[in-house]
Amino acid sequence: MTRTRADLLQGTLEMLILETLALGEPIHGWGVALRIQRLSADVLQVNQGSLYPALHRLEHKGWIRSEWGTSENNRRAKFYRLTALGRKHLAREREQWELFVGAVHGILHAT
Amino acid sequence: MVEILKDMLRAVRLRIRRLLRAGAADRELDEEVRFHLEMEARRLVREGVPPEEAERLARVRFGGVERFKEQAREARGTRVVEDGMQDIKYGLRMLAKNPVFTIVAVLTLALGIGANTAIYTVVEAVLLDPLPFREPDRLTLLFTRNDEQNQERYMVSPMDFDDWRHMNATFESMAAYWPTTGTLLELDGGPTRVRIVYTTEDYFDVLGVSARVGRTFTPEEGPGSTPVAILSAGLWERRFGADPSVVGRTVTLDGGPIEVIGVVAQAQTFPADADMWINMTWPMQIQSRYARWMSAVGRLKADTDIVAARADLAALARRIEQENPESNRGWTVTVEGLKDVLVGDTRAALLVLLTATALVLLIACANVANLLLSRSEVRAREIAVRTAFGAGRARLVRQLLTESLLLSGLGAVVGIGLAWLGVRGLLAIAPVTLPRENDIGLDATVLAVVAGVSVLTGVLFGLAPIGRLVGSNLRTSITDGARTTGSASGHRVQSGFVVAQIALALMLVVSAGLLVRSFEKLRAVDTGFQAGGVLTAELDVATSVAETDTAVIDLYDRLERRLTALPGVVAVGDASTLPLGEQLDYSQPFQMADREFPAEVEPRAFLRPVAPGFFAAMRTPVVAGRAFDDRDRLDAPGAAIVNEAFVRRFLPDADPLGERFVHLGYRFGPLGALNKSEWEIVGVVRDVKYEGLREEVLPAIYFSGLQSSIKRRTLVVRYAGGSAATLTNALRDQVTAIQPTLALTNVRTLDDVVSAARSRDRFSTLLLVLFGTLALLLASVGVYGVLAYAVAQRTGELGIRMALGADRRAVRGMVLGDGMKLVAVGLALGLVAALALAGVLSSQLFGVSPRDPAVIGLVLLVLLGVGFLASLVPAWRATRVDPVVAMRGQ
Repeated sequence: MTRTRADLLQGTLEMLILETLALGEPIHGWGVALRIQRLSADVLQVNQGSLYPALHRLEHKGWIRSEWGTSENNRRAKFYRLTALGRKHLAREREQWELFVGAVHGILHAT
Repeated sequence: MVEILKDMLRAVRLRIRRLLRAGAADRELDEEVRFHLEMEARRLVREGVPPEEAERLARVRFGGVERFKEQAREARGTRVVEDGMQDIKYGLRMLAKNPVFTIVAVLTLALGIGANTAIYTVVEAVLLDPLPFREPDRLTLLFTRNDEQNQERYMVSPMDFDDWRHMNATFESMAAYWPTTGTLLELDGGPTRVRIVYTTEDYFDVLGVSARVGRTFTPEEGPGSTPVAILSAGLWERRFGADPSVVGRTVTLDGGPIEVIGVVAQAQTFPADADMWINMTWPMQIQSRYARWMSAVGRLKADTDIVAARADLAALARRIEQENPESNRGWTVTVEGLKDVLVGDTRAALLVLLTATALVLLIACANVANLLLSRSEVRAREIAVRTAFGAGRARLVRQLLTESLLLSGLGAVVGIGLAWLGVRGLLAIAPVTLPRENDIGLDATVLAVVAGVSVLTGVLFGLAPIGRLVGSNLRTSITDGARTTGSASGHRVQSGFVVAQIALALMLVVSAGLLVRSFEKLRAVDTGFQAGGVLTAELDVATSVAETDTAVIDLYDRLERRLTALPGVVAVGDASTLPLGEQLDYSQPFQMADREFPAEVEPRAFLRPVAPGFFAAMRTPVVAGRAFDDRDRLDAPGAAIVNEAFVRRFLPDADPLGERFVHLGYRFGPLGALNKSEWEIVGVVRDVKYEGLREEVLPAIYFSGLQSSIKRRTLVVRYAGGSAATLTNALRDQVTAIQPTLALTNVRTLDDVVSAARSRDRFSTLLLVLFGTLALLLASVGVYGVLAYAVAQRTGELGIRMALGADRRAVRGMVLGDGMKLVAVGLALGLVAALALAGVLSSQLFGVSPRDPAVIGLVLLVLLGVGFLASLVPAWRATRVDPVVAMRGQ
């Protein structure tokens, strides 16, 4: 199965979101973007706009859920959290990812 | 695990909620994005970016806000439905923005669908619906035929029938029947007239009809057995309250007892409107071969066809003819499919209507196509702009498809309404003789076919703008629309449609014109009698009431004397057969005392016993000699009167008065007889139309009703003053006074009889006039639409011309000329087609050639006029073009 670059990136973004949410407490969309950027030490620049379609897709799959709450500056914001289904899926994604990274690593260091 | 299931369920619920409440989901998304941008801007401010710059930067970082909102929406997966709703809303808005276009298109579609479905439904019900018999396609009606005597479908004698039945090789079975009437005594003692059919015992087996209650005839119930009766479902319900116990009971028919053995299952009877069937119990072979009075129906063997059956029976008839040269000279057979006969003359008329319907459908489709093409020019520009703004092609196709479907759907809905009204209307004005009309409802298949064709046209041509878009590049589409005269090829297609419409309309209107003229001729036909102010009623005197010939003659004589004495009554007569009526007319060879006829002249005439007052009551002029009177009784010499056609054919150079017929006794089956065999011609009367208004009058001999004992006669009462209704009551009272068990049937005015004879012509004329008008209307809409559109497209060009000094008259002339050119080409083509197809209509015409120059000329003028009027408005509008405004549009 061939994956296009866009697919790969999209899939990766989704995994990163899940990973971010896996830390526990619910966070809003902007928080997710910020955290991905910080955790990757600014290496990964999340295209902020594409975050929302990804969030909605994940929600439709039932991997994350959302509810309206109040933000740290007292504004109404939508908070996302990981579901049990999402957690299970993340575990599988993570496994595959590590397999993939390991394979690439092997190839890169083979010479 | 439970947790995971819950998550899945929640996801499903979420999708459904967002689908149902798309607006709320959108608002939430808005709020979320707003919050994000605000937070991002704040962060940037904290990092030292100026506030107004921070806001801009936040948006830049986010990327296209609307684009991602759109993507987010798409991610919700409810996109298709939302777009559909949006398309519908947009489509409705577009339709509402052009109310004239919408109304014309919807009405065109509706008329096309409605008119066609209504006609198709009636036609199909009549022509194509299966008869309620087992394998009806194998059923045939059998007639005798004699070309010399001009008899194509005559009845058969019992002996001939018996030979057919036993000696044929192609029929599985064959039955004979004889329809008549009788008087049934009801349980309360009141008499009621019923239509009886005497049948051979295998009749129901031949037709494949079974009994609902009781049984049909058994093979033993043939000649020599006791007559028994089977009731129709109609009579059983009407007169016996659908009581099953009537089977096995004995009822009184014509004064005698008869046992009811069953009730027929099917509501529809054969022959139509039969009330009761009784088995023929007389032996076939003792009757004369001359006495042709039975009808016959046969079921073909499964492995044969009607052609083989014709050959088979014709060979048989030749053998019978050789063995019986006296009685059967020139007599062969006619074999017709039962269905063909039942549908009968209606077929030709219906086929003409069907053709007209197809033409109207074509015109309507051309109109719809044209309207949509006109609009596509305008739409092509809008669509090019939308494409430039990033609308996907598939999305645009969907949008246009939605619009077309909306339009076609509206047309179809209105059309179905029209179709329903149309069927009701057709049945209301349909001639009473239209077969099997009670079974007709709106036909779903037909509706689907017609609506399908119309809607498909609408959808196909609704997509025309896309075709244009694919064919050209974007930029020229956008600029093109603003400037030039629109695409030339599109215009050519539209012009082609208009030409076709005009041509089709011409054909339809010419047909309508011809039928109207033919109908006028038919109205003007001299029937040989005056129909106004005459009441007619049938009476049948059963053997139980008047046993002897003298008693029958005496009864009618007494009754008519009493009727003549009624106030307001001018003259009273009777006849075995009424002109233009449904009764049988009997045709027979004759011999004259002092005359030999050359071989090529077959001496043969219709035999018509009439009471002395008949000619006076009908106001049929006696042109020579005298009418019958009280002298012409049984004890006097036989008196006969002939018509003018008789004199023309047989006695052209002689004085007919005093000529004598010899050996002319005749038995009208079981109905009675002529009671003399020698007759002297005492008078000549004007020709009277008996067989039909279109038919030529054939030679006929009238006999004095006082010298013939016909039991079943139609009374003819001419009255002055008083109403038909009061006279009817008086008539019934007099009949009851003479004999309480007698009942009148079929009481109606002579006007009704004549108008029934014209009804089918009136019906098809009216329908074709409707079609013609419709075609005219649609075609003029087509001409108008194309010209108006062309003018709108050429606004710029016209502006330039006028700015350069072209005067208004020249501009108007140019547009008018364009329109009339289309009309002229259409008319020329239509004329050729109309002349070529003239033959289709000729069977429906009377006294008018299908290429009648007066009608065609008039129609050409009318269509030219309509085309001119349709061109006038766009031409006028062209002269209103303001050069300045038009040039600015460039």
